[in-house]
Amino acid sequence: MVVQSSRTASVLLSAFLSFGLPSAQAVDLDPTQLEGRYRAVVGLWAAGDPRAIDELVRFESSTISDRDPKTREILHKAEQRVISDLAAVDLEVLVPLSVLHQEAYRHYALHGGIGAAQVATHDRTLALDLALLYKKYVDTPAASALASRLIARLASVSTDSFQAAKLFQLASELDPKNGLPLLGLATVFEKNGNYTDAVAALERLRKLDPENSKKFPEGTLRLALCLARLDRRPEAVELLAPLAQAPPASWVGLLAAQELARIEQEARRFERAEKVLRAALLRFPRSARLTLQLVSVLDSRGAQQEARSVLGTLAEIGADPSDDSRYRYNRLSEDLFNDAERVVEPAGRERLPALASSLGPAAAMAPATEEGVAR
Amino acid sequence: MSRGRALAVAFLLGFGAVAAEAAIQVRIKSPAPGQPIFGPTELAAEVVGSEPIARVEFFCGGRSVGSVATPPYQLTWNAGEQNIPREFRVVAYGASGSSASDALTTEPVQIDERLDLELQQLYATVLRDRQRVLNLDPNDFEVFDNGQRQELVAFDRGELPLSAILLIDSSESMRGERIEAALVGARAFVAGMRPIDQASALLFSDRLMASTPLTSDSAVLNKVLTHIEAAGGSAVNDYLFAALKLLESHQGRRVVVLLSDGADIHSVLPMAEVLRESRVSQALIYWIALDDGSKRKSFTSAWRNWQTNDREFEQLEKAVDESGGRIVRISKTEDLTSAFAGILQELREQYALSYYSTSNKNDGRWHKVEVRVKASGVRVRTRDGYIDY
Repeated sequence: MVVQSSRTASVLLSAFLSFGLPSAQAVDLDPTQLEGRYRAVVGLWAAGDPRAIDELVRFESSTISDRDPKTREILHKAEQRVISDLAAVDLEVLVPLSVLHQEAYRHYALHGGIGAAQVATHDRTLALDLALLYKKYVDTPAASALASRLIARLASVSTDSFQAAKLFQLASELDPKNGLPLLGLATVFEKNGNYTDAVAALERLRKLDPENSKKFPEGTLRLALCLARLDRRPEAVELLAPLAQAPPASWVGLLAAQELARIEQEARRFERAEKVLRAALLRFPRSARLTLQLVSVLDSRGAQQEARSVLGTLAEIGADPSDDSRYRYNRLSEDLFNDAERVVEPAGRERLPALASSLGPAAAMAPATEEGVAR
Repeated sequence: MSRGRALAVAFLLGFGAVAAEAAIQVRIKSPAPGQPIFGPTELAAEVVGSEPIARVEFFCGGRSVGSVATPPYQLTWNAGEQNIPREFRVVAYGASGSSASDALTTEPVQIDERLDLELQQLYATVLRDRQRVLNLDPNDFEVFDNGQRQELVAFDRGELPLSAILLIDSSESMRGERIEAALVGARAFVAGMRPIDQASALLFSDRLMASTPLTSDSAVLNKVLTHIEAAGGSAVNDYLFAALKLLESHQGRRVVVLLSDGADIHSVLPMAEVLRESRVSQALIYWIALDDGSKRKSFTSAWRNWQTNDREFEQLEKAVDESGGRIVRISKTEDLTSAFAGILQELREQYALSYYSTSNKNDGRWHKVEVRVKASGVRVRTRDGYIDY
């Protein structure tokens, strides 16, 4: 959908200007030159050239200094003037622009933002604002769903857990039918030891749609483990037992078996723990960790000879460098980014012609040079 | 443990083991694997080599029981009446100084599932003004087991053989210079080992990345200790448990040298379980704590909140302390090699005190152990006790 409305564009402009940043003084950066450079980066992006991300990073990081917050303020104003001009032509350009700034933020998240805190924050903030503005002024269910995915994608690469929680919450509110932001929200809570709120988010996920338990087995696993940590072990066991046996034999099933056995072992129900582990070893015969757990359980119930015998079976298993299940659990689900990406990537790509058109013919063709974008 | 079991464990730890070119080869002919050993026992070895053999030395439970300089390489040794598994080792020394070894473990007669471990071995480091005291004799020591004075049946200085597991954290946070320095340090430990010592290298993150069997062959160890791509999180508990468990079936001086730059994140086993195993296995635990272990503070993950992580960390410290080992805190990677070498030197300078406890009941209870030295101004570090199984 392409919207062209001078009324909408003027509202958008005033929304941008209401961000309330104080005006810049005493910083020797030429706003006109900054606008030109930014338009050139956007032109590259509009032409479908992924080098635009590196160019944006190079441009912004050479402009914004962590030591001088005013540099961020000046750049912000220059970029918002360009964005306002472009959005005045077509509000749809907000989507690819949000994606561009997300990609710049992701660059800092992946490569480390030491010395680049201000510029990383700038890109995260701008990516979020553009998504919210798009939702607000296009104002359709489809725009809400797209804004939700834009924000969920941003949350899933966020390095700041407080910001990630806020973003997931927002993404969930914008598109309540999508359960993934709730899984993300719960994971952030869990990683911060806030099991009560994690349980609340995961229970909302289950209530949202009866199919969500099947769609998101990771959510069930996380719910069970958070319940166990809140001393609600019988409920945890009830959730984990079927998960440990459910096909296919996935990393979630492997962890469900490990954690179910752990709960049983901690409750000194060694025979039950042993039963869980032996059944799991039939499904995951190469799991060194399950084998070690079984050794521990056998030891705990006084069967030292048998424990030594099981330890010997590790010979056939050996190193297990591919078993990253426990590491994976300690991270945000890959599904979060992938799901958002499935929607966001084509949505951004489809709107590039609109972005090119809003820039006008000359700027849209700006070539890249050795030093950066031509200006 | 039979030879078959020994091979199984070797396989567990032995990925890509390298057979070094050996000028001498030695094989234990007697006793047979799995054979219960009581009373006078013939020990015999078959030795072949491309150079003259200087001597062949026999060990049981890490203690030398005799050596033979000329063929046939055999002797008779009184094993006593204890029904226990026994770890035999034979080392053949060539005239040029080269050596080769073989080992096997015999089984006890199985009465039930209890391992009879009445002979208690303590390894004591004695310090005066932070310097190790090296001139003590048996009369200088008093050992108390649950408050009862014990009679020493054997006394040795630190030249006893050791079985060490080098447990190297290879997680993401060790990437680059850190892991390289860790491997250099571990190789320095291996270089300082004697032919009668054996070690295994376990490189772990949240999973087991690479490993070797327990071996005296430095080529096998160095192959794994040359390079590893650090990745993933950290599961100290799980792999410390595995290391202790693997050492449990070995006799003599057992040591785990753990190198890690932070606390556990991803283990399924709680540190309480590792602590229990440590009390049973009686292995010494040394922990080289990179970054001074400072990563423990307010650390949280999806697996544990910060309070639980701190508790786990404290229990790791307790396990190390109780074992008679120590925490070597370092803040710079360039200190890693001297940390490893320092631990090996300390092990060389320990006193080994053995006694049959007069208070053993095999009731699974904790026995508090105390070692006193009749000398002024000294401090003794040894294990705090053991679980009586």
